[in-house]
Amino acid sequence: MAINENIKSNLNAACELTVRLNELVVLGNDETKEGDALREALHGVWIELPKQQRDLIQYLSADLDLLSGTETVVISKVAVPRKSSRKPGAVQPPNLRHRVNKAIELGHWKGVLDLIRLDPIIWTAAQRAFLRAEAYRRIGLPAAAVAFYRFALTLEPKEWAYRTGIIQSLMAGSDIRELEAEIANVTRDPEAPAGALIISAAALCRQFAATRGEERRAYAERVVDLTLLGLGKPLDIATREPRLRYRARFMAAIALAELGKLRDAVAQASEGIRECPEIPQLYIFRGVLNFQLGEQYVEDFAASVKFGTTDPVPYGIMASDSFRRRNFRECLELSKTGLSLDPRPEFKAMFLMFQAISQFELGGSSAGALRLFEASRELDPENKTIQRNFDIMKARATQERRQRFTDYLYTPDVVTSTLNKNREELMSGLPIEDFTESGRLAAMMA
Amino acid sequence: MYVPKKYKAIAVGAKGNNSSSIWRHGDGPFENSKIDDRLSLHCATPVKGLVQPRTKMQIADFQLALAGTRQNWSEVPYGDQ
Repeated sequence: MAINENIKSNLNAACELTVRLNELVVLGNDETKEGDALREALHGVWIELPKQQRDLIQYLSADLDLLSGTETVVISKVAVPRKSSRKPGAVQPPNLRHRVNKAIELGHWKGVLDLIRLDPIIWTAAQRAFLRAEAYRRIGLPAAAVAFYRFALTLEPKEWAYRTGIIQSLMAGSDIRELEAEIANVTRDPEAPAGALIISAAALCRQFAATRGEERRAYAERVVDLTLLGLGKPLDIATREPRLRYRARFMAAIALAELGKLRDAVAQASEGIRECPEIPQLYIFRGVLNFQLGEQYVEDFAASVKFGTTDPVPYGIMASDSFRRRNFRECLELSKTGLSLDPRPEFKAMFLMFQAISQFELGGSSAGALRLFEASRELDPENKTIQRNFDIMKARATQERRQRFTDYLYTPDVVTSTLNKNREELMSGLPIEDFTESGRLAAMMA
Repeated sequence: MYVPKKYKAIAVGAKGNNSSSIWRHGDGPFENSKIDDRLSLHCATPVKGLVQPRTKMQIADFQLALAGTRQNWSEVPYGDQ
């Protein structure tokens, strides 16, 4: 369900106020001026919401009754059709537990909430709280998620999934102090499992990405320490999933690179690739590091292309390499693919230049090639390589291709400048915020 | 959010102050209709309506007319009642 930013902001405000009001109810302090002021503020944002989001808040309010021990069975419209969880030919409809598991599997979190309300008591209070916490977190209401995780934690204080859930929820918010306090709880506990440490590192990684200078370096050091500490522990239910392990390696590599430890960063990226060899971003990142170290880097970008990256940069680097080897057919194909990925103007200019030269060298008309060059120059008028190659191309066109291929200027400035640009821009595809393991919920609910 | 908590069995998520109550007037369907000689109910949606004067009148008269309906109000029962 895509909703605009304004609705999202009102929805989160309504959620936070609902949770706060419920806290007063639990304490028996809601029939006060403060309680009435909260109700008024809540009504103010709630009334601005579309019906679907109003309902979500209303049902959240009902779900929160779990925390005061006053939960009632709520008959609501169930969003998950029975059919979707029924095997063909089955006579009996699957039970509620099965339907909830199916909804989890399908990522249908609103359906999970609706189904639990049908008969809440078939789950323990801690399970209900955990399921609701996970669902509200996925729906994008972190304040509600935190309230349910915290409640679950009061019932089962040793359950690490609740603590990591709180951290994951707080990652989505802006309360750094609360987040730091939770991370501190995890890191000072010698029994903290690998998954909790890595998820704490992921939360720090987000802070690291949002800061600069010394503060950033300090975050980078903590990310490295926590990640490596986590990876050094025995695998737990979270880290048994290779996708979490590769993300951990990726985080460590990014943080190590920030600290200038490029060779260590390459080693971590390589470990990540060993865990999950099909992730193109890891190859791109290692390629950038290898480029900075003066090592072979083209193979990494080639691998990212092989695994279907949608980042145009590797196509530019590959096209540049094909161009250097005078493989104009390959260069043409890579440039076309790169152009189809809607690159930034300077990259588009480079692809057009490669396309112009390749087409011409493969026997295309000079008029067509010159048109492509014109478009390229328009996009990046300051690029001297494009200007120089344009002149050579024109000369070759008039001299009927007598000039040698090697006269083209090979090194496109844009490739080297891109490789030197900020790392996190290249890393934008890193999904650090979603550290949830699909198997964990199922295992806990079994 | 204003519906008192005591009504949670009939109003999902009710978290309002329990010092308030819900009152009922009449038994007819919730639709545009005459309440008495001076007032009518105008329903904007199937769940939201406004009691308004049937003819032009002073605010004080409108308030008196509303107060005149008080004797026909009955408190909506909740929970264990």
